[in-house]
Amino acid sequence: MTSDELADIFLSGDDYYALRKVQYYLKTHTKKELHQKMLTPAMYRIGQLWQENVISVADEHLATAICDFVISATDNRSQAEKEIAGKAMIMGFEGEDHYLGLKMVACVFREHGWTVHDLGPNLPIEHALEAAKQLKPDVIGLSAALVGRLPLVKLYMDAVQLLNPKPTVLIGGRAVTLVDLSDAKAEGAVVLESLETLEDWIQSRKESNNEARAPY
Amino acid sequence: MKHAPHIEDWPLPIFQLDRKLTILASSKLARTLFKEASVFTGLLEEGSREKALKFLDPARSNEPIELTFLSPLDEPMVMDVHCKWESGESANVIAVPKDRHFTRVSAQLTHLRTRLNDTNYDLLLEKERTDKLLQNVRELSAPCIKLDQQRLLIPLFGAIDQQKMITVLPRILENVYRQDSQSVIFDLTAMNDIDPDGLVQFNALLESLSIMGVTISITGVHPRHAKRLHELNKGLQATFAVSLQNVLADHQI
Repeated sequence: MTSDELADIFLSGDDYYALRKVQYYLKTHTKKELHQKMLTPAMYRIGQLWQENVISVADEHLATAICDFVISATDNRSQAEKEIAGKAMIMGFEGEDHYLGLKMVACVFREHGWTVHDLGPNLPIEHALEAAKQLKPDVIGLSAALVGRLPLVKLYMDAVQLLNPKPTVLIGGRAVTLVDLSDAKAEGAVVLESLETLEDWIQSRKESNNEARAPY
Repeated sequence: MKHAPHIEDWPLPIFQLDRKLTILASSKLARTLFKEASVFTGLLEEGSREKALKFLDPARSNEPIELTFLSPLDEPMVMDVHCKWESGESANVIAVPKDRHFTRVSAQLTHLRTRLNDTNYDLLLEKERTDKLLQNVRELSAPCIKLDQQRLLIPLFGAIDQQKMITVLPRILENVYRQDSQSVIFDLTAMNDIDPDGLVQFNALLESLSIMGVTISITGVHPRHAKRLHELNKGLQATFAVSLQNVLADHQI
Protein backbone atom coordinates (compact mmCIF):
# COMPACT_ATOMS: atom_id res chain seq x y z
CA MET A 1 0.00 0.00 0.00
CA THR A 2 1.31 3.46 -0.88
CA SER A 3 0.42 6.63 0.98
CA ASP A 4 -1.56 7.79 -2.09
CA GLU A 5 -3.67 4.65 -1.92
CA LEU A 6 -4.23 5.23 1.77
CA ALA A 7 -5.33 8.79 0.99
CA ASP A 8 -7.92 7.37 -1.42
CA ILE A 9 -9.17 4.97 1.25
CA PHE A 10 -9.51 7.85 3.72
CA LEU A 11 -11.42 9.85 1.12
CA SER A 12 -13.75 6.91 0.47
CA GLY A 13 -14.84 7.20 4.11
CA ASP A 14 -14.62 3.47 4.80
CA ASP A 15 -13.29 3.54 8.37
CA TYR A 16 -13.01 -0.20 8.98
CA TYR A 17 -11.35 -0.89 5.66
CA ALA A 18 -8.83 1.85 6.43
CA LEU A 19 -8.16 0.35 9.86
CA ARG A 20 -7.74 -3.17 8.43
CA LYS A 21 -5.26 -1.89 5.85
CA VAL A 22 -3.28 -0.03 8.49
CA GLN A 23 -3.24 -2.98 10.88
CA TYR A 24 -1.93 -5.15 8.07
CA TYR A 25 0.76 -2.55 7.38
CA LEU A 26 1.72 -2.55 11.06
CA LYS A 27 2.50 -6.27 10.92
CA THR A 28 5.66 -5.50 8.99
CA HIS A 29 6.28 -1.86 9.89
CA THR A 30 6.69 0.20 13.02
CA LYS A 31 4.25 2.79 14.30
CA LYS A 32 6.80 5.46 13.48
CA GLU A 33 6.89 4.34 9.85
CA LEU A 34 3.11 4.38 9.78
CA HIS A 35 2.96 7.97 11.00
CA GLN A 36 5.89 9.26 9.03
CA LYS A 37 5.68 7.37 5.76
CA MET A 38 1.96 6.73 5.43
CA LEU A 39 -0.36 8.97 7.45
CA THR A 40 1.54 12.24 7.11
CA PRO A 41 2.07 12.00 3.34
CA ALA A 42 -1.49 10.73 2.88
CA MET A 43 -2.88 13.80 4.65
CA TYR A 44 -0.52 16.12 2.75
CA ARG A 45 -1.77 14.48 -0.43
CA ILE A 46 -5.37 15.19 0.61
CA GLY A 47 -4.47 18.84 1.19
CA GLN A 48 -2.88 18.85 -2.24
CA LEU A 49 -6.03 17.41 -3.85
CA TRP A 50 -8.03 20.28 -2.36
CA GLN A 51 -5.48 22.72 -3.74
CA GLU A 52 -5.99 21.14 -7.15
CA ASN A 53 -9.75 21.56 -6.84
CA VAL A 54 -10.29 17.80 -7.05
CA ILE A 55 -11.97 17.41 -3.66
CA SER A 56 -14.03 19.66 -1.41
CA VAL A 57 -13.62 20.70 2.21
CA ALA A 58 -16.29 18.14 3.13
CA ASP A 59 -14.16 15.35 1.64
CA GLU A 60 -11.18 16.68 3.52
CA HIS A 61 -13.08 16.64 6.82
CA LEU A 62 -14.23 13.09 6.25
CA ALA A 63 -10.70 11.91 5.45
CA THR A 64 -9.41 13.69 8.57
CA ALA A 65 -12.01 11.96 10.74
CA ILE A 66 -11.06 8.54 9.31
CA CYS A 67 -7.36 9.23 9.86
CA ASP A 68 -8.15 10.34 13.41
CA PHE A 69 -10.02 7.09 14.01
CA VAL A 70 -7.12 5.03 12.66
CA ILE A 71 -4.58 6.82 14.90
CA SER A 72 -6.76 6.33 17.99
CA ALA A 73 -7.48 2.70 17.21
CA THR A 74 -3.81 1.81 16.76
CA ASP A 75 -2.54 3.84 19.70
CA ASN A 76 -1.18 1.61 22.43
CA ARG A 77 -1.99 3.33 25.68
CA SER A 78 -1.01 0.54 28.06
CA GLN A 79 2.62 1.11 27.17
CA ALA A 80 2.63 4.34 29.13
CA GLU A 81 2.01 2.51 32.40
CA LYS A 82 5.39 0.81 32.53
CA GLU A 83 7.73 3.65 33.35
CA ILE A 84 7.24 7.32 33.85
CA ALA A 85 9.85 8.96 31.68
CA GLY A 86 8.23 12.37 31.85
CA LYS A 87 5.06 14.33 31.45
CA ALA A 88 4.19 16.17 28.27
CA MET A 89 1.40 18.63 27.65
CA ILE A 90 0.67 19.24 23.98
CA MET A 91 -1.67 21.63 22.18
CA GLY A 92 -2.29 23.67 19.07
CA PHE A 93 -2.13 27.47 18.94
CA GLU A 94 -5.27 29.53 19.23
CA GLY A 95 -6.97 29.70 15.85
CA GLU A 96 -5.28 26.53 14.66
CA ASP A 97 -7.72 23.69 14.04
CA HIS A 98 -5.31 21.01 12.85
CA TYR A 99 -5.10 18.25 15.41
CA LEU A 100 -3.86 15.06 13.72
CA GLY A 101 -0.24 16.06 14.24
CA LEU A 102 -0.89 16.39 17.97
CA LYS A 103 -2.32 12.89 18.12
CA MET A 104 0.72 11.46 16.36
CA VAL A 105 3.02 13.37 18.71
CA ALA A 106 1.09 11.97 21.67
CA CYS A 107 1.65 8.43 20.32
CA VAL A 108 5.40 9.00 20.02
CA PHE A 109 5.66 10.30 23.58
CA ARG A 110 3.56 7.43 24.92
CA GLU A 111 5.68 4.86 23.14
CA HIS A 112 8.64 6.22 25.09
CA GLY A 113 6.87 5.83 28.40
CA TRP A 114 5.73 9.42 28.78
CA THR A 115 2.44 10.55 30.26
CA VAL A 116 0.74 12.78 27.70
CA HIS A 117 -1.96 15.39 28.11
CA ASP A 118 -3.25 16.25 24.65
CA LEU A 119 -5.26 19.43 25.14
CA GLY A 120 -6.23 19.54 21.47
CA PRO A 121 -5.98 22.32 18.92
CA ASN A 122 -7.08 25.94 19.19
CA LEU A 123 -6.13 26.39 22.84
CA PRO A 124 -6.21 30.00 24.06
CA ILE A 125 -3.15 31.01 25.98
CA GLU A 126 -4.93 31.54 29.30
CA HIS A 127 -6.32 27.99 29.26
CA ALA A 128 -2.91 26.67 28.36
CA LEU A 129 -1.34 28.46 31.33
CA GLU A 130 -3.99 27.25 33.74
CA ALA A 131 -3.55 23.65 32.61
CA ALA A 132 0.24 23.96 32.82
CA LYS A 133 0.06 25.22 36.40
CA GLN A 134 -2.10 22.27 37.35
CA LEU A 135 -0.25 19.56 35.44
CA LYS A 136 3.33 20.80 35.90
CA PRO A 137 4.57 19.15 32.70
CA ASP A 138 8.26 18.61 31.88
CA VAL A 139 7.54 19.49 28.29
CA ILE A 140 5.04 21.73 26.51
CA GLY A 141 4.58 20.85 22.86
CA LEU A 142 3.06 23.41 20.50
CA SER A 143 1.90 22.54 17.02
CA ALA A 144 1.24 24.81 14.06
CA ALA A 145 0.24 23.77 10.57
CA LEU A 146 -0.53 27.33 9.44
CA VAL A 147 2.31 29.79 9.06
CA GLY A 148 -0.10 32.55 10.07
CA ARG A 149 -0.21 31.13 13.62
CA LEU A 150 3.51 31.42 14.22
CA PRO A 151 3.55 35.04 15.39
CA LEU A 152 1.77 33.64 18.46
CA VAL A 153 4.87 31.64 19.34
CA LYS A 154 6.37 34.61 21.15
CA LEU A 155 3.24 35.12 23.26
CA TYR A 156 3.20 31.47 24.30
CA MET A 157 6.94 31.50 24.99
CA ASP A 158 6.60 34.57 27.22
CA ALA A 159 3.75 32.93 29.11
CA VAL A 160 5.76 29.77 29.68
CA GLN A 161 8.61 31.81 31.21
CA LEU A 162 6.25 32.60 34.11
CA LEU A 163 5.86 28.95 35.03
CA ASN A 164 7.71 27.34 37.86
CA PRO A 165 9.23 24.81 37.30
CA LYS A 166 9.81 25.94 33.73
CA PRO A 167 9.06 23.26 31.17
CA THR A 168 10.97 22.75 27.92
CA VAL A 169 9.03 24.10 24.95
CA LEU A 170 8.93 22.04 21.76
CA ILE A 171 7.50 23.55 18.59
CA GLY A 172 6.50 21.39 15.67
CA GLY A 173 4.05 21.04 12.80
CA ARG A 174 4.13 21.71 9.10
CA ALA A 175 4.57 25.46 9.57
CA VAL A 176 7.98 25.15 11.25
CA THR A 177 9.42 23.67 8.08
CA LEU A 178 8.37 26.79 6.16
CA VAL A 179 9.65 29.67 8.31
CA ASP A 180 12.62 30.66 10.40
CA LEU A 181 12.10 30.34 14.17
CA SER A 182 15.51 31.43 15.41
CA ASP A 183 13.94 33.94 17.84
CA ALA A 184 12.05 31.19 19.64
CA LYS A 185 15.16 29.02 19.58
CA ALA A 186 17.12 31.82 21.22
CA GLU A 187 14.56 31.82 24.03
CA GLY A 188 15.22 28.13 24.62
CA ALA A 189 12.52 26.50 22.49
CA VAL A 190 13.35 23.35 20.59
CA VAL A 191 12.06 23.30 17.02
CA LEU A 192 11.26 19.87 15.65
CA GLU A 193 10.60 19.40 11.95
CA SER A 194 9.34 15.83 12.05
CA LEU A 195 8.27 12.96 14.29
CA GLU A 196 11.71 11.53 13.70
CA THR A 197 13.44 14.56 15.19
CA LEU A 198 11.01 14.41 18.12
CA GLU A 199 12.03 10.83 18.73
CA ASP A 200 15.71 11.78 18.59
CA TRP A 201 15.07 14.55 21.09
CA ILE A 202 13.27 12.20 23.51
CA GLN A 203 16.12 9.72 23.18
CA SER A 204 18.87 12.28 23.81
CA ARG A 205 16.98 13.66 26.83
CA LYS A 206 16.76 10.16 28.25
CA GLU A 207 20.48 9.65 27.76
CA SER A 208 21.45 12.94 29.36
CA ASN A 209 19.13 12.19 32.30
CA ASN A 210 20.76 8.81 32.75
CA GLU A 211 24.18 10.43 32.76
CA ALA A 212 23.04 12.94 35.34
CA ARG A 213 21.81 10.10 37.57
CA ALA A 214 24.93 7.96 37.19
CA PRO A 215 26.98 7.85 40.39
CA TYR A 216 30.34 8.58 38.77
CA MET B 1 -11.52 50.94 -5.61
CA LYS B 2 -14.82 52.39 -6.90
CA HIS B 3 -18.26 51.17 -5.90
CA ALA B 4 -19.94 49.68 -8.91
CA PRO B 5 -23.56 50.81 -8.55
CA HIS B 6 -24.96 47.86 -10.52
CA ILE B 7 -23.39 45.25 -8.18
CA GLU B 8 -23.38 47.23 -4.93
CA ASP B 9 -26.56 45.79 -3.44
CA TRP B 10 -26.33 42.21 -4.59
CA PRO B 11 -27.07 39.67 -1.83
CA LEU B 12 -23.73 37.92 -2.38
CA PRO B 13 -20.09 39.03 -2.24
CA ILE B 14 -19.18 40.07 -5.78
CA PHE B 15 -15.86 41.33 -7.14
CA GLN B 16 -14.44 42.69 -10.35
CA LEU B 17 -10.79 41.76 -10.68
CA ASP B 18 -8.04 42.48 -13.16
CA ARG B 19 -5.42 40.02 -14.44
CA LYS B 20 -3.31 40.49 -11.31
CA LEU B 21 -6.38 39.88 -9.13
CA THR B 22 -6.48 43.48 -7.96
CA ILE B 23 -9.98 44.30 -6.76
CA LEU B 24 -11.41 46.90 -9.16
CA ALA B 25 -14.88 46.94 -7.62
CA SER B 26 -16.85 44.98 -5.06
CA SER B 27 -20.36 44.68 -3.66
CA LYS B 28 -21.25 46.00 -0.22
CA LEU B 29 -21.45 42.50 1.24
CA ALA B 30 -17.96 41.69 -0.07
CA ARG B 31 -16.60 44.63 1.89
CA THR B 32 -18.40 43.86 5.17
CA LEU B 33 -18.03 40.08 5.20
CA PHE B 34 -14.28 39.87 4.63
CA LYS B 35 -11.08 41.53 5.77
CA GLU B 36 -10.05 44.65 3.96
CA ALA B 37 -7.64 44.11 1.09
CA SER B 38 -6.80 45.66 -2.23
CA VAL B 39 -5.85 42.36 -3.83
CA PHE B 40 -8.20 39.37 -3.92
CA THR B 41 -5.64 37.00 -2.37
CA GLY B 42 -5.43 39.33 0.64
CA LEU B 43 -8.97 38.23 1.58
CA LEU B 44 -7.96 34.60 1.77
CA GLU B 45 -6.44 32.26 4.32
CA GLU B 46 -2.85 31.35 3.54
CA GLY B 47 -3.73 27.85 2.34
CA SER B 48 -6.08 29.26 -0.27
CA ARG B 49 -3.89 31.95 -1.84
CA GLU B 50 -1.90 29.72 -4.13
CA LYS B 51 -5.04 27.91 -5.19
CA ALA B 52 -6.68 31.22 -6.11
CA LEU B 53 -3.65 32.31 -8.14
CA LYS B 54 -3.65 29.01 -9.95
CA PHE B 55 -7.33 28.75 -10.77
CA LEU B 56 -8.39 32.38 -11.21
CA ASP B 57 -6.77 32.47 -14.61
CA PRO B 58 -8.38 33.14 -18.01
CA ALA B 59 -6.80 29.97 -19.37
CA ARG B 60 -8.68 27.84 -16.83
CA SER B 61 -12.20 26.53 -17.23
CA ASN B 62 -15.05 28.25 -15.42
CA GLU B 63 -15.50 25.51 -12.86
CA PRO B 64 -16.16 26.84 -9.35
CA ILE B 65 -13.40 26.46 -6.77
CA GLU B 66 -13.53 26.30 -3.00
CA LEU B 67 -11.59 28.99 -1.18
CA THR B 68 -11.28 29.87 2.51
CA PHE B 69 -11.87 33.58 3.19
CA LEU B 70 -11.07 35.34 6.44
CA SER B 71 -13.61 37.48 8.25
CA PRO B 72 -12.52 40.81 9.78
CA LEU B 73 -11.99 38.80 13.01
CA ASP B 74 -9.81 36.25 11.19
CA GLU B 75 -12.45 33.53 11.26
CA PRO B 76 -12.22 31.17 8.29
CA MET B 77 -15.22 30.89 5.93
CA VAL B 78 -15.30 28.37 3.12
CA MET B 79 -17.05 29.56 -0.05
CA ASP B 80 -17.51 28.38 -3.60
CA VAL B 81 -16.00 30.92 -5.94
CA HIS B 82 -17.40 31.30 -9.48
CA CYS B 83 -15.40 33.30 -11.94
CA LYS B 84 -15.93 34.48 -15.49
CA TRP B 85 -13.32 36.37 -17.50
CA GLU B 86 -14.23 39.09 -19.94
CA SER B 87 -11.78 39.17 -22.86
CA GLY B 88 -9.10 37.84 -20.54
CA GLU B 89 -8.54 41.22 -18.95
CA SER B 90 -11.08 41.50 -16.16
CA ALA B 91 -13.12 38.95 -14.28
CA ASN B 92 -16.46 38.90 -12.51
CA VAL B 93 -16.20 36.81 -9.38
CA ILE B 94 -19.00 35.68 -7.08
CA ALA B 95 -18.40 33.97 -3.74
CA VAL B 96 -21.23 31.69 -2.63
CA PRO B 97 -21.22 30.62 1.03
CA LYS B 98 -21.28 26.89 1.59
CA ASP B 99 -24.64 25.33 2.20
CA ARG B 100 -25.63 26.25 5.76
CA HIS B 101 -26.46 22.64 6.41
CA PHE B 102 -22.86 21.67 5.73
CA THR B 103 -21.51 24.40 7.99
CA ARG B 104 -23.83 23.37 10.80
CA VAL B 105 -22.86 19.69 10.59
CA SER B 106 -19.20 20.59 10.40
CA ALA B 107 -19.44 22.81 13.48
CA GLN B 108 -21.36 20.08 15.29
CA LEU B 109 -18.63 17.55 14.52
CA THR B 110 -15.94 19.88 15.80
CA HIS B 111 -17.97 20.41 18.95
CA LEU B 112 -18.38 16.67 19.50
CA ARG B 113 -14.69 16.08 18.98
CA THR B 114 -13.83 18.80 21.47
CA ARG B 115 -16.19 17.27 24.00
CA LEU B 116 -14.63 13.83 23.56
CA ASN B 117 -11.24 15.41 24.01
CA ASP B 118 -12.32 17.19 27.19
CA THR B 119 -13.77 13.99 28.60
CA ASN B 120 -10.58 12.21 27.72
CA TYR B 121 -8.60 14.88 29.53
CA ASP B 122 -10.82 14.74 32.62
CA LEU B 123 -10.50 10.95 32.69
CA LEU B 124 -6.75 11.30 32.51
CA LEU B 125 -6.73 13.61 35.52
CA GLU B 126 -8.95 11.16 37.41
CA LYS B 127 -6.64 8.32 36.47
CA GLU B 128 -3.66 10.19 37.85
CA ARG B 129 -5.53 10.76 41.08
CA THR B 130 -6.49 7.09 41.28
CA ASP B 131 -2.90 6.04 40.63
CA LYS B 132 -1.77 8.19 43.53
CA LEU B 133 -4.43 6.70 45.81
CA LEU B 134 -3.46 3.20 44.74
CA GLN B 135 0.15 3.91 45.59
CA ASN B 136 -1.01 5.15 49.01
CA VAL B 137 -2.97 1.96 49.54
CA ARG B 138 0.08 -0.07 48.59
CA GLU B 139 2.25 1.79 51.03
CA LEU B 140 -0.27 1.27 53.80
CA SER B 141 -0.70 -2.44 53.20
CA ALA B 142 2.34 -3.47 55.26
CA PRO B 143 2.65 -1.20 58.30
CA CYS B 144 5.59 -1.79 60.64
CA ILE B 145 4.40 -1.93 64.24
CA LYS B 146 7.04 -1.81 66.93
CA LEU B 147 6.11 -4.25 69.71
CA ASP B 148 9.13 -3.68 71.92
CA GLN B 149 12.89 -3.03 71.59
CA GLN B 150 13.50 -6.19 69.63
CA ARG B 151 10.31 -7.10 67.86
CA LEU B 152 8.56 -5.67 64.84
CA LEU B 153 5.09 -6.85 63.80
CA ILE B 154 4.21 -6.48 60.10
CA PRO B 155 0.66 -7.45 59.15
CA LEU B 156 0.15 -7.80 55.38
CA PHE B 157 -3.19 -6.58 54.03
CA GLY B 158 -5.17 -7.45 50.93
CA ALA B 159 -3.94 -9.12 47.77
CA ILE B 160 -0.16 -9.11 47.56
CA ASP B 161 1.32 -8.69 44.11
CA GLN B 162 4.67 -7.72 42.72
CA GLN B 163 3.89 -4.02 42.62
CA LYS B 164 2.77 -3.95 46.22
CA MET B 165 5.82 -5.86 47.45
CA ILE B 166 8.18 -3.60 45.47
CA THR B 167 6.53 -0.60 47.10
CA VAL B 168 6.75 -1.87 50.70
CA LEU B 169 10.05 -3.77 50.54
CA PRO B 170 12.53 -0.89 50.89
CA ARG B 171 10.43 0.68 53.64
CA ILE B 172 10.33 -2.55 55.66
CA LEU B 173 14.10 -3.06 55.37
CA GLU B 174 14.72 0.55 56.34
CA ASN B 175 12.42 0.22 59.37
CA VAL B 176 14.05 -2.98 60.57
CA TYR B 177 17.48 -1.42 60.22
CA ARG B 178 16.63 1.86 61.91
CA GLN B 179 14.81 0.26 64.85
CA ASP B 180 17.50 -2.35 65.26
CA SER B 181 14.88 -5.11 65.45
CA GLN B 182 16.05 -8.62 65.99
CA SER B 183 12.85 -10.35 65.20
CA VAL B 184 10.17 -9.67 62.61
CA ILE B 185 6.72 -11.24 62.73
CA PHE B 186 4.70 -11.31 59.52
CA ASP B 187 1.01 -11.71 60.22
CA LEU B 188 -0.92 -12.97 57.19
CA THR B 189 -4.38 -13.04 58.81
CA ALA B 190 -5.62 -10.11 56.72
CA MET B 191 -3.75 -11.12 53.57
CA ASN B 192 -6.07 -12.06 50.78
CA ASP B 193 -3.81 -13.93 48.41
CA ILE B 194 -0.32 -13.70 47.04
CA ASP B 195 0.44 -14.18 43.34
CA PRO B 196 3.60 -15.91 42.00
CA ASP B 197 5.39 -12.61 41.25
CA GLY B 198 4.46 -11.26 44.66
CA LEU B 199 5.84 -14.43 46.22
CA VAL B 200 9.17 -13.98 44.44
CA GLN B 201 9.43 -10.52 45.96
CA PHE B 202 8.32 -11.76 49.38
CA ASN B 203 11.03 -14.39 49.19
CA ALA B 204 13.57 -11.69 48.34
CA LEU B 205 12.42 -9.70 51.36
CA LEU B 206 12.79 -12.71 53.68
CA GLU B 207 16.25 -13.42 52.28
CA SER B 208 17.34 -9.84 52.83
CA LEU B 209 16.07 -9.95 56.39
CA SER B 210 17.93 -13.23 57.04
CA ILE B 211 21.14 -11.68 55.78
CA MET B 212 20.57 -8.82 58.18
CA GLY B 213 20.50 -11.45 60.93
CA VAL B 214 16.84 -11.02 61.76
CA THR B 215 14.73 -13.89 63.05
CA ILE B 216 11.57 -14.30 61.01
CA SER B 217 8.24 -15.66 62.17
CA ILE B 218 5.21 -16.07 59.96
CA THR B 219 1.79 -16.41 61.44
CA GLY B 220 -1.88 -16.32 60.46
CA VAL B 221 -1.31 -18.65 57.50
CA HIS B 222 -4.55 -19.61 55.80
CA PRO B 223 -4.76 -22.89 53.80
CA ARG B 224 -4.91 -20.92 50.55
CA HIS B 225 -1.64 -19.21 51.50
CA ALA B 226 -0.04 -22.47 52.50
CA LYS B 227 -0.30 -23.81 48.95
CA ARG B 228 1.79 -20.92 47.75
CA LEU B 229 4.14 -20.47 50.67
CA HIS B 230 5.62 -23.92 50.33
CA GLU B 231 7.28 -22.56 47.18
CA LEU B 232 9.39 -20.33 49.38
CA ASN B 233 13.10 -20.91 49.57
CA LYS B 234 13.55 -23.99 51.78
CA GLY B 235 16.82 -22.67 53.15
CA LEU B 236 15.05 -19.80 54.84
CA GLN B 237 15.28 -19.62 58.58
CA ALA B 238 11.63 -18.71 59.11
CA THR B 239 9.40 -20.25 61.73
CA PHE B 240 5.70 -20.67 61.17
CA ALA B 241 3.20 -20.37 63.98
CA VAL B 242 -0.53 -20.99 64.11
CA SER B 243 -1.44 -17.65 65.62
CA LEU B 244 0.09 -14.40 66.59
CA GLN B 245 -0.65 -15.23 70.20
CA ASN B 246 1.65 -18.24 70.03
CA VAL B 247 4.50 -16.25 68.57
CA LEU B 248 4.18 -13.57 71.18
CA ALA B 249 3.99 -16.17 73.97
CA ASP B 250 7.11 -17.97 72.67
CA HIS B 251 9.11 -14.81 72.62
CA GLN B 252 8.08 -13.73 76.06
CA ILE B 253 9.95 -16.49 77.83
